[in-house]
Amino acid sequence: MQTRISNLIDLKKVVQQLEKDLGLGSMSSHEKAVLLAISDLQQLDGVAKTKAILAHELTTSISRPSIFRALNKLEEHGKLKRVEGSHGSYLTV
Amino acid sequence: MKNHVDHFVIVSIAFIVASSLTLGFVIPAQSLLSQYAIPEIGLIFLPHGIRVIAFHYLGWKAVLHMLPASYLFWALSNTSGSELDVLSPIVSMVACYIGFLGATVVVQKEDIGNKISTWKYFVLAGATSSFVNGLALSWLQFADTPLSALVGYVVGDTLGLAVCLVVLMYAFRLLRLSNELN
Repeated sequence: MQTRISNLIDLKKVVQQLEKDLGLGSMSSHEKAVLLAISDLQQLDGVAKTKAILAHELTTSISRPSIFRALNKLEEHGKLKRVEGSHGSYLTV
Repeated sequence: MKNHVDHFVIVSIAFIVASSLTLGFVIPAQSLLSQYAIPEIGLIFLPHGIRVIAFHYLGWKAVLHMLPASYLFWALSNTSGSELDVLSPIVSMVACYIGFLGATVVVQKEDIGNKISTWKYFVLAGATSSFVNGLALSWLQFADTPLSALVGYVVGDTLGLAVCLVVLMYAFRLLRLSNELN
């Protein structure tokens, strides 16, 4: 049983690496919602400010810490960038 | 003992599903697309993916686990018009394992394993085992080793492995999405 589970976990890791290498790694639902909210705000105001992201209708059901985690992840993955010289403002890449 | 039975069941089911798809879809489709296609060689041979993954996780025991399903595939293929030699399932399985082992030894000796991802090692080992399998089967099936048959085996096996990995990727992705939805 133990071997079977460890084999399955290993296979899952192999497949996840393939997914990542092919650029098909999927975002979590929170990350998608935050990215869509930023894109929407960017179209309206040019940039997406943290306060507006937190208040956006796509992110209201997500907790504050989850939104900030999603922002960090999206920034790490190069999906968005911080606007220089303006605190707490984001742009999609 | 229970572990062996479990492995045998899992590997057999996977091998039979992959073989059925190859026999019921790939081979008829390739015959439809080209009149020169050889019915004994599947150009996307999905069971090769199962073979490589089983060799990696179960070692030489995978050869024994997959033999019954392999013979089932042999019987079904011959019923549907192919003329596969009675020894082809054993020869193919052993040749594949030798090729896989060869690639694994080289990867370990040259320390390539740390430089490439495991799925790339799967493709490398899969292609090597497919080459040895192609040599053995062409010799067994066609008396000599025609280049077209050898290329057919290598292309079919390697593509089959790649498709298998992509299918697994989407299966895990689907599982992840359904977990997220629940």
